[in-house]
Amino acid sequence: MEENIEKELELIEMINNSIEDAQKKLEILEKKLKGE
Amino acid sequence: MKIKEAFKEDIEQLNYINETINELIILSENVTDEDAKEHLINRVEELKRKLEQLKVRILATEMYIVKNTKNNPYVTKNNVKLPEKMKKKYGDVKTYAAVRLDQLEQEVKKRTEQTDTKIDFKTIYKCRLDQLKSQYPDSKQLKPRMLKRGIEKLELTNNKINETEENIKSEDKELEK
Repeated sequence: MEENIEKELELIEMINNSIEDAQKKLEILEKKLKGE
Repeated sequence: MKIKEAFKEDIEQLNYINETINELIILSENVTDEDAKEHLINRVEELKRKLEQLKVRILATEMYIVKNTKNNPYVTKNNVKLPEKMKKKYGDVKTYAAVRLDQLEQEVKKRTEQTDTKIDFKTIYKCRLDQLKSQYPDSKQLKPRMLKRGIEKLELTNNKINETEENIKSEDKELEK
């Protein structure tokens, strides 16, 4: 398992970044739709 | 590749969410009808919930990995390399495990304090451990004691959520009167 930690963390970081990007996009879209 | 397989569902879910967001962005450009707008807002809210669920699943996974890293003498003694970006941020693997575990615990705490979200950390965590166990059948790190500790902690988290929900229900009833 040890040698895989680096790859696992890299993948988790990538997924976390993508989640953050998607959350930002949704926030912007929601504001736009609500006319804020 | 085993690692990608363990995260396959998450990545597929993320891809689906991203594709749907792009579709909604296109649809939102020409929408004028109020009902149609309302429908799009509901879809946005649904996606936000799905993202939160995904985030929690990843949080549970990262907590498991970080705890494992912190308690694993092989990793700390041999100073396993961190990915480049994380190396810049945390320095070495020991510092990473200590700092990140603290951050993750804060995130879990924050989520348990969110009164409108019920998060079943225990189930998510158990499901993740089963997944990782099947991924690493010979792993010496997956000791029952460690699993028990993790689950006990999550049970506490769940109890806190249930307690908060019960308090809100009682307060709602009081307000209705």
